[in-house]
Amino acid sequence: MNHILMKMKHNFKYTVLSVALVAGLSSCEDFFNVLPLNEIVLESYYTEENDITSVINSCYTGLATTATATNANPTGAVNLMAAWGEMRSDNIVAGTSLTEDETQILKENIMPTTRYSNWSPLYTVINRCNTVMHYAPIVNLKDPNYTDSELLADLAEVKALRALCYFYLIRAFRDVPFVTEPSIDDAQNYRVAATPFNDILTYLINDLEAVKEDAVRRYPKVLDNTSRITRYSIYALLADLYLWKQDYPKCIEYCDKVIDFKKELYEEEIALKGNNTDLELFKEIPLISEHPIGSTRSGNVATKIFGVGNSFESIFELNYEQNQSSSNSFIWNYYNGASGSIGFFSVPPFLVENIASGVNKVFKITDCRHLEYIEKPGSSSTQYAITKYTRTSVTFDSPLASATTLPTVTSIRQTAGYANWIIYRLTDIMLMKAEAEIQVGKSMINDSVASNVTLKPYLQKAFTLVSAVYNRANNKTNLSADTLKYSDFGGSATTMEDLVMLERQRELLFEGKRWFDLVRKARREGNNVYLSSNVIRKQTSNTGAIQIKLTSIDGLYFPYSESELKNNPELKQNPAYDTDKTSTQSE
Amino acid sequence: MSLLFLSGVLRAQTSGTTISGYIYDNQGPMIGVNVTEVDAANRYVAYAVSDVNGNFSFKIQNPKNRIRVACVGYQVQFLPIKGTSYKVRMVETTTLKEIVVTTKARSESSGLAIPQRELSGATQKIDASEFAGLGINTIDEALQGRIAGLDIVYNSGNLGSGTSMRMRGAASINSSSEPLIVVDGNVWEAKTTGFDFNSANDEKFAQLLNVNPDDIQSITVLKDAASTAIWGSQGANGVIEIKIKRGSRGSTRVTYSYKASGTYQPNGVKMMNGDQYTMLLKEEYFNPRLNDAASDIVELNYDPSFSEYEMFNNNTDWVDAVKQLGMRHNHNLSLSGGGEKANFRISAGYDKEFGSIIAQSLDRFTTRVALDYFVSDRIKIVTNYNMTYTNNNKNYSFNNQDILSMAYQKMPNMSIYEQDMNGNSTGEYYQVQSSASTELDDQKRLVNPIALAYQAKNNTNTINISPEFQLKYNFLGLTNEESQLIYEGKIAFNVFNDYNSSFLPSSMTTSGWNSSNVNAKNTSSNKSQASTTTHTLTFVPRFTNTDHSFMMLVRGQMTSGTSNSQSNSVYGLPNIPSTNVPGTISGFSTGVSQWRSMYFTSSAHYAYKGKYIMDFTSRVDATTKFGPSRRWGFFPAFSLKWIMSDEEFMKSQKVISTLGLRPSWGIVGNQPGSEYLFFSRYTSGPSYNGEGSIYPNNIRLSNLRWEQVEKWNMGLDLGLFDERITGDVNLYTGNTTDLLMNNPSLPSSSGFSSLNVQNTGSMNNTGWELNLQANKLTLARNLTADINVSFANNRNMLTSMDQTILNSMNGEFSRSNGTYLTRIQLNSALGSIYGFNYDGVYQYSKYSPEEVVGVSGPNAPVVRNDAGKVIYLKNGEPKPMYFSYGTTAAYEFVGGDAKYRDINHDGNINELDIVYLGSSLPKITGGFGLRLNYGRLSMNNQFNFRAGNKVVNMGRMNAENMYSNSNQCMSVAWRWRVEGDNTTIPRALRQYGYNYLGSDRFVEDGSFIRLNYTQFSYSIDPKLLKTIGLSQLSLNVSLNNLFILTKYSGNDPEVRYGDYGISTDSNQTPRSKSFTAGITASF
Repeated sequence: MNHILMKMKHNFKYTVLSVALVAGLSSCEDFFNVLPLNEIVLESYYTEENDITSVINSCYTGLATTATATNANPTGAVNLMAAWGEMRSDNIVAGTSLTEDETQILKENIMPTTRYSNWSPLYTVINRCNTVMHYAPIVNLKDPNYTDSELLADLAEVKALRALCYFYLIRAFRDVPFVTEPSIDDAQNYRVAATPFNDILTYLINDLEAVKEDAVRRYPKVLDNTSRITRYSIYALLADLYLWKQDYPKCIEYCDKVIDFKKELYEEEIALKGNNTDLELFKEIPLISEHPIGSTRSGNVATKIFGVGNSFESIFELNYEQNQSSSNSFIWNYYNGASGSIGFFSVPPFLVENIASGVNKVFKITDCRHLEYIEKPGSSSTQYAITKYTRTSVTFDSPLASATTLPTVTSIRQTAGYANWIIYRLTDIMLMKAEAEIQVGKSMINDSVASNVTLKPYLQKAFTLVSAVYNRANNKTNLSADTLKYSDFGGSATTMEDLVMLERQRELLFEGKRWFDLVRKARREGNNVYLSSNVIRKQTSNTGAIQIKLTSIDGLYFPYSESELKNNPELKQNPAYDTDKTSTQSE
Repeated sequence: MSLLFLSGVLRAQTSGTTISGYIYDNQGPMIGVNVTEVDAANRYVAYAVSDVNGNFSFKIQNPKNRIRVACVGYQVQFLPIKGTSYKVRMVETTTLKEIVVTTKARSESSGLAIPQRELSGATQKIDASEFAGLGINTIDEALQGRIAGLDIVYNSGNLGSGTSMRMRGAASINSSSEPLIVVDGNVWEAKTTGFDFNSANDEKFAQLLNVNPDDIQSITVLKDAASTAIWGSQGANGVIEIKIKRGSRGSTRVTYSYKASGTYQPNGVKMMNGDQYTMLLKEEYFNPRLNDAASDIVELNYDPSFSEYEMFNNNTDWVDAVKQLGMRHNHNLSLSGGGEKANFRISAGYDKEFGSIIAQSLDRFTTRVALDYFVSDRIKIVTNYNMTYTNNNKNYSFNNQDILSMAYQKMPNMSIYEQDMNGNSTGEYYQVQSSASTELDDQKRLVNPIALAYQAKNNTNTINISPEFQLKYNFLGLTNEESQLIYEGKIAFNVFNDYNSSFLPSSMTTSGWNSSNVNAKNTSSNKSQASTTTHTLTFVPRFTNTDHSFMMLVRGQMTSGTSNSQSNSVYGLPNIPSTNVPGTISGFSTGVSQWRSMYFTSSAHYAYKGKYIMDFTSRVDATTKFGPSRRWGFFPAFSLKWIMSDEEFMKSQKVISTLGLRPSWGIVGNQPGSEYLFFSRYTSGPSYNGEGSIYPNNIRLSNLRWEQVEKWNMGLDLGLFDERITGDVNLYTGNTTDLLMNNPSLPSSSGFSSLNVQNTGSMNNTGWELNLQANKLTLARNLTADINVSFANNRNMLTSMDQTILNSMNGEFSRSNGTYLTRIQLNSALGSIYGFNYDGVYQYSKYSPEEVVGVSGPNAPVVRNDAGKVIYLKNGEPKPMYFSYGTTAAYEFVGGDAKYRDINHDGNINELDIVYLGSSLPKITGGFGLRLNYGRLSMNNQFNFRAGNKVVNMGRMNAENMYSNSNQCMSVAWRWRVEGDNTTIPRALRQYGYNYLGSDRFVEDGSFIRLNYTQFSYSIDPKLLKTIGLSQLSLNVSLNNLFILTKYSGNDPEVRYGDYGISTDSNQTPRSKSFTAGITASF
């Protein structure tokens, strides 16, 4: 037995030897240290400034995603921003080849299964922003070339992008999960309850107020000034946030900062070049003229702002370039693409019909905008196509008030969807300010002074801004008489508010603004009367039921998506959609 | 007895001294005798051969060595080195008496060489000679129904599509459930980048295609944790160990075999001809809107003035047109033999196959070299080399459809070829024009399957090379009478490359030059290389008390490998007669992957008196798939065996010859399918304003753990009547915990839609297996029979899962036709099918308590209460029956519509009326076989069966739904047409109504018994053969898949498991039937 034990010992020695052989010369952990060959891992990332810049770029590309397939779920961020801000408004009716989701939403029949409730493209961007916020200070410590001011500018940039995403989310869903930490590890808790609308709004304002002056004022690359976050795009965003927070003096303050900056730019340019054939002052505010100096033909606004992009009037837009792999397929699918056919979306007839005869309540014959933004693809077509963003250039004879027919539009279509998506531009800010001025005026009313006397200076300020925008679109110069008469609208705050709303609709048609304008008004007034009476105009059937649906203040927001509710038990469905799924037949 | 004569002067020798000698036998001097100087380990150190006069001479290396004299046919002699001159007389071995050597049959597994009867795990071994001469391409085809508990299902009848296997049920939700295949101790794994088993294509399952059945010696299937334990995490789904034939000592033997097979497709359901089809379609278009204009479709009108009239006035049998008689030729040549220093076996096989569906062909070339070289008694070197090349010309998969399934849908009034004005074929394939009626859009998307088969190309070729080198060294004793310590070192390489290319010519589409289907070309390639180093040390001590026997083994293994892949897709390639359309790159990707793993295993076997047996195995696994803190997994297994029949009290009876009881317990593990999971990875994205972007691509999984299965097995081995009947029974249960699930969804507010993998729940698989054999039962003189029977049952149950994950996996009722609700529920099995109960067709639209012929009747869409009484509304009318009332899908049923059972009597057919319809998991699987031997003639029949499983017959659903333009089967001739028709087939409604909701109408019993093969073989008397120089000549005739007994109405009830374990038959190519004739000759 003893020699067996001896042999066992012997055997054990060999075991040890064998194990040592297997383990080889290097240690085990080295052997298992296999890194991905075509990706970078977190552990070896974030060492230099460039690493932060690349992730910030991915925040922009994330925001610029559009769904390539017509029924892709999730859709792209641009699809969501545009659809949330526009689809339910009175600007959009069903076009062609649309999917069930759009059909149902356009009938105000919104299901939690709709892909427009899938908010993931925006949260993807939010997570990237949070990631930058988390790692940028670490890189700042590692990389001496990454200065403190660069760090602060980067933080301001991603905070603004994150705020923009949340702002869209709360306008679309009201209360949403508010996440400010990056998602890195599976040990984190991802089931987050929704934070109320106002808490998020306040957070965003405070967040941006703290960093607004850190942001870059002007980039070395001209293109970046309108397609990246600048100090002025943060101001624009803050103005919008304050408008929703109903802090109107602050809104005006930030609108003025933006407007003053554009004036400054204009003066710089004049000083530098002598003149600019495209720009003209309207009520002292520089805007792109419909007909460039030296031409009698109009269409310049559509060409410069939506066709070429990154125009003088632009404050922040998502840039697409032909040589990039990503294109703006939202425009392609939803508005109308190269073929000129009608996309998912079409235009309700009340916006376009009977303009020449002067009966149309929205556009007068002299208004260039309907010629630029809407067309009838052929005489046989019964629907209208949206042409905003889809043309690279537009020209037509300036329409005359005396004419009874509309001029013929000559245009060149985009050959592929590379139109930029505009988030803020100057006229938007001007009209925001107009809206705020009226509200400030209303808040000044007290018993001692007659209300119309108190209001008048504010209404006049608002009117001047509306007039500037309107005159530009109607080929009026800075000096010529207003087409709109103050006397027609200055009677009360309500008529002036209606004018501002109408001008916003005309000017910002199809830019993802109208529905939010209506919701903002409904929130301010505490009822949906104005909203539902406007929105119902586009509906042709089942109007009674739709009108009832539109009275619910909860119903102004999208439902949380079915899959999100399943994945996140902390989330409670918006009561407007939280009906008993098993509707039974009524008797 | 050998004689030796020494001559010369005895004196001390030193190295370098030349010795010489003379070798002779009783007939004189011998030429060519090997004379070698061997050292203590019998290693050759110097060498000479005797010349024509029997003389030899050489220089010795060391005088302490011995001289070895050997010649084939003569006894080997050893002489001590004493002197310089030798005279050796050789003695022929034939003068020896017969020696009887007894040895225990030992297991041929990769672990310890445990005597077969002492095996305590659940295993089953089959000798490949049982399958000799069968018309099979891969060994799994022959294994069907032979291994209890191994459920083998054909993926499809297309060439090279392989089988899908489940050992004792699926223990995992969506990681691989395929058993591990081990060939000669090497894991057989064609690993490629990002391989996902759920979306895997057929080829991935066809890895056995790389092993030529003619090279296989035996197959051992390891089922329980105790027997798979040495494979650790890799063996969680069971192990199929294949032992390859090797050479053996003896004269060189050349064997050639040739098999020729004819294959053909079974008859499927009968489809409508053109005339019946157009009549149906007219009705289908008319019914929803009751509008003649809606059914006015020019392609259905037989209007001679229509320009394409001749192409739409036919009766084409598309299904028949895509079938053909397939052919298969298998050639196999092997050469084996061996001498004292080496054994070898070299084989080469070539197969050529033409499918039973047109335009499929498969070539395969395999070659294998196995060489054992005995350097000395202590040292043995083994090398293996094998290569397999396959070239598979498949049908182009247009929109992921088989051409057979396309043929079932294609409109039969259309012609295959374009016809001239007189209806004569022009020989050009006809495609539905893009200008055809818009109603026919679905037919436009369905290209002409014949044209697709012949003009489009889809080729895959693979090459697999796996060389191996092995060294064995005996440290201690050489025989079983001594303690042994054996070291075995092995290095194996595996190189697997596959290349795919497909081309869709522009003639397949009529929709303009810039369609992505014009001249679309896809190419992709995968290359993977892996190397595995294994060190094994086996220790077998010899005890003085022979009641004890013990052996143990320790082994360490390291694997590392890399793979890379690339693919690109282009469409609109030039050669189209258009001027300026450039080719467009529609997809381009590359991938690189790298993996490493390491394990240590130790295994011990102890037997007392050969009847009380104990085994213990443990394995420690580590893989790069987990983070450092979770990297190592420990998997122990323990088993016992009591051979009761060896006890004294059993000796007195004669009935039971073997009775063994073997309980076992063990834990095995499972690892996720992809690498780099514990890293947060950053990927580059598109650029913004000309600057590159990089973004985080995943959430790192630092919490991910091994999936573990704890298995219990109770086995019983039985032998009766002196082993005339043998068998074994196993009862088992396995609990999977920390179930790995791929891509569980995450709240998207995290910025990600899912985690890559997550441990989510637990699952149980419990079952039993029975395997019985009757060996060489003598039925009459010269007539013997072998019988084998196997049965197995497995019950699967999901025992726990995070409720949120469960909810997210379970979809909502889509309120649309043709879909079944897939649900995973706690305490129920995977593979459960949910849907409505189908109660036939409403005979009348209008209700009346008594039938008024042709007007109204009791079988009308009205609501009834529990008691079956009709519910009336306040206005006195019966309450009408609705589908999904109150939703956008609301629909009021009318006469001729499908009648679904209103389970809750609420007058509304909706998700609340969905019930459990059955499971796709079979209750019993197995097979039985009968082999009759009459002299040199034998007949071998093998059946396999599955029972109690449900199959969703999507093929029939599509052929009976009367909802689209697809051709329909003849049964719809019985459709409801006018009020009062009493039938079970609803009315035709194109794109309207709810006549084919997922219901039990299309859920069929998939039970079947199949005669897998029947074979006759005859071997010719060797005495006769000797005269023509052959040592063996046998002839085989076999018929595969001759018949199938089933109630299933589709082509073949053998349907592979799909998502969540549900079997859905969508008219994929069924298994073909075949007949084979073969001949095997040896020289």
